[in-house]
Amino acid sequence: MNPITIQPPVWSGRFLQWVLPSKLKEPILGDLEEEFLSRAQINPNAAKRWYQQQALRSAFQFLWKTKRGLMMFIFSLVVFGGLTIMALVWGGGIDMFIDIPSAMLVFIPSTVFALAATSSKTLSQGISALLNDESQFDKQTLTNAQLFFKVLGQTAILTGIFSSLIGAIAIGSHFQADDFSTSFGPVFAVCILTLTYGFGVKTICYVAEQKLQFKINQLV
Amino acid sequence: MSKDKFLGEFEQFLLLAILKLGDSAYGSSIRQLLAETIERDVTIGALYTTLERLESKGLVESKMGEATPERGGRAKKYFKVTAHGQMALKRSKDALANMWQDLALLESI
Repeated sequence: MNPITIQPPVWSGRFLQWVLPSKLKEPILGDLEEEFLSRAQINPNAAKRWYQQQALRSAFQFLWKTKRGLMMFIFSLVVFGGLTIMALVWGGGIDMFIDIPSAMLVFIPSTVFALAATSSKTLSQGISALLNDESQFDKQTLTNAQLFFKVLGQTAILTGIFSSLIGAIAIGSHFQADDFSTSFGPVFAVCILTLTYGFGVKTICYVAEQKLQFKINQLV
Repeated sequence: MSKDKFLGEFEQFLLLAILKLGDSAYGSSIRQLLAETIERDVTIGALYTTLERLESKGLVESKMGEATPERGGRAKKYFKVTAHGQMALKRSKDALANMWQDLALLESI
């Protein structure tokens, strides 16, 4: 086998490339590939193991420096999600908090409204700005991305309130006195689920808005 | 009395490796020299982290070199010890020599 046709392991190389600061990508990846090919002439499998070890260890050395913002953002979402799930479990089980129609009433219109108020390009730029600390966007782009999450979060609450009111009216219109003691509780719980979903979306969007504001402040 | 800190052990080894390699001092060659000479297997990430730090202190300077097919078409980054870096090395060497003066280790070691 011609050693120069042996390729370094793809995924560890891509992970390293993603993590590395821009100015070091070329020299570091070049050095690794050069030494990999030299080692592959002797033992291709050992060369692959060596490359993976170098790439992953080097990536973790740079991870906190280059992806600190992303890691803290993900950590905050994990903490929020974890505590929410804990509350749901202690509240009597996750099942009672899941209702697909309620979720659709909140997520679909709020997403559509947010896209209509901004654009899908704004959404992809916003996600890129949130997930990539090295991304360079101008103030206008970041402000537009912030607007997307603002609209998404606000609309989620509003659709949650609106749907809860629809539920309340439906309850008020159809409930008979005989049904009250047995059915009111579960029906009311579903009614306010939309509100809960709305506030959940708003919480996540609020974090995204503030992170984008932080990036805007750094531009000034 | 000078308030400059002395070079760390690894920083000294890096600077000496760059001096030994001369015009061929780039990441991979430095890494291999350290592995062969002092049997220290350093990750490429740790190497460049220290090199960046040395460059920010003005002890080394770098320039981009030629790209080759073996490097996937990527250029090398060459390093050179500056005059300030050589002074720092000499200072650390002299300080170590002063500490060693009049000392003798056990013959069995």
